[in-house]
Amino acid sequence: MDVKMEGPGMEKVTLQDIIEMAEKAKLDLSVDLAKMDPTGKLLEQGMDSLDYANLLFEIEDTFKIEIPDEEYDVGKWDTIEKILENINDGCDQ
Amino acid sequence: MIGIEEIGIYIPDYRQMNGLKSYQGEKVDPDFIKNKVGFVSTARKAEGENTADMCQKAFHNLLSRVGDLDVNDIECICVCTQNGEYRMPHTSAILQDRLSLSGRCAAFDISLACSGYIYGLGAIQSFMEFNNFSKGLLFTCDPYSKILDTEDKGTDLLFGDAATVTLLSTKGSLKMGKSTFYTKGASYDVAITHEGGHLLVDNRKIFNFVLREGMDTIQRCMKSNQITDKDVDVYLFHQASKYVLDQLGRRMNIASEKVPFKAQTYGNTVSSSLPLMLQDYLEDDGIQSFFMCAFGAGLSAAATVLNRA
Repeated sequence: MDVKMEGPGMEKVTLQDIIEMAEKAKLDLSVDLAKMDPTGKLLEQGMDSLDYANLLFEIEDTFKIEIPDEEYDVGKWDTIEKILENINDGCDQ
Repeated sequence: MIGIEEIGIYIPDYRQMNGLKSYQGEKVDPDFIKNKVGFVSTARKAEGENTADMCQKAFHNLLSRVGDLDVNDIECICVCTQNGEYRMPHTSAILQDRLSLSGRCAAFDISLACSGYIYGLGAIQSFMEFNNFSKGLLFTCDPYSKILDTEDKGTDLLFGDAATVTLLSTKGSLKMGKSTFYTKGASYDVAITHEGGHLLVDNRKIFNFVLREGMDTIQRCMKSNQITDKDVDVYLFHQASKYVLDQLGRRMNIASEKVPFKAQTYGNTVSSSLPLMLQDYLEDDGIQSFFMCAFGAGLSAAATVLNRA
């Protein structure tokens, strides 16, 4: 799926969009995103580091964004809630 | 035209069993190791064993496979390593003496990591053809155990030691096609060893590089050689980890049986990764065409094709 990050008023990206993205890309994650606490850290809810890297890679490609190292390193993308906020903040700019 | 005639290999006997490891007091998950990382164990050279020793053992394996190789006929040797015997001189010079090769034999090292075999094949083949040489040897040996931090699970669980030697000759029946390359020098510090330090690797960035620039390199190589998936019998991808290969094969829609993962018991052996696998296929006439791709420190990626003549 290609989500265009252009201009105000476009639909917000939801968890369902992320789930569909993962399925379409056949990421075969070790956890069910739908069952995770959106405010809890992904790596503390059973997701392994490889799936985490893969998920973020797919998010970068699908939503045409680049996750800066400094944000990754300080955990700005480590929960579903933060991921969605970051993606949708990019849409609002 | 120069082609690959035979390959000799050496993998040390000792294995580090990854499922038994702990890091900072935390045990690794054996299922995660087996099913995701893929390296149930990694090979480790013996204490006191060094790069030239390992190359020499690979050469002995080559001799057992070729039978009638006269060392005086070897006109050039190349060693691909970033962890040679010494900082200087080049390890290939030491090997010239160890293997009793002619003093007229050219010897040079190339400094590349995981992409080194493909680069090395191109370099030595070109060198041989330009100089009308008939027989040459390409060694790969990069024993990372010399630089690993045994407390860093991001590297300690991945890398293994090994050496290979590829005999290239005018009799060689495996011919190389066009190669493609990618260099991302801005990411030079993604896999780095500082003077006197340990290997430091950002595995996430390596992963991203493989899936972006690595895939681009593969696609350009297929286009350059005018081939598609149906023209390839087997894909030999650098054995970075089982997970990387799974993701690469999946994203490229390649049938999993065409992307072998063979390094379960010895690990990521850097530039030895591809020739270790290739040796297994040399006598399999059912495999006529190979696609090879490797990616690693640099960051660097390379891809090529090999076809039986």
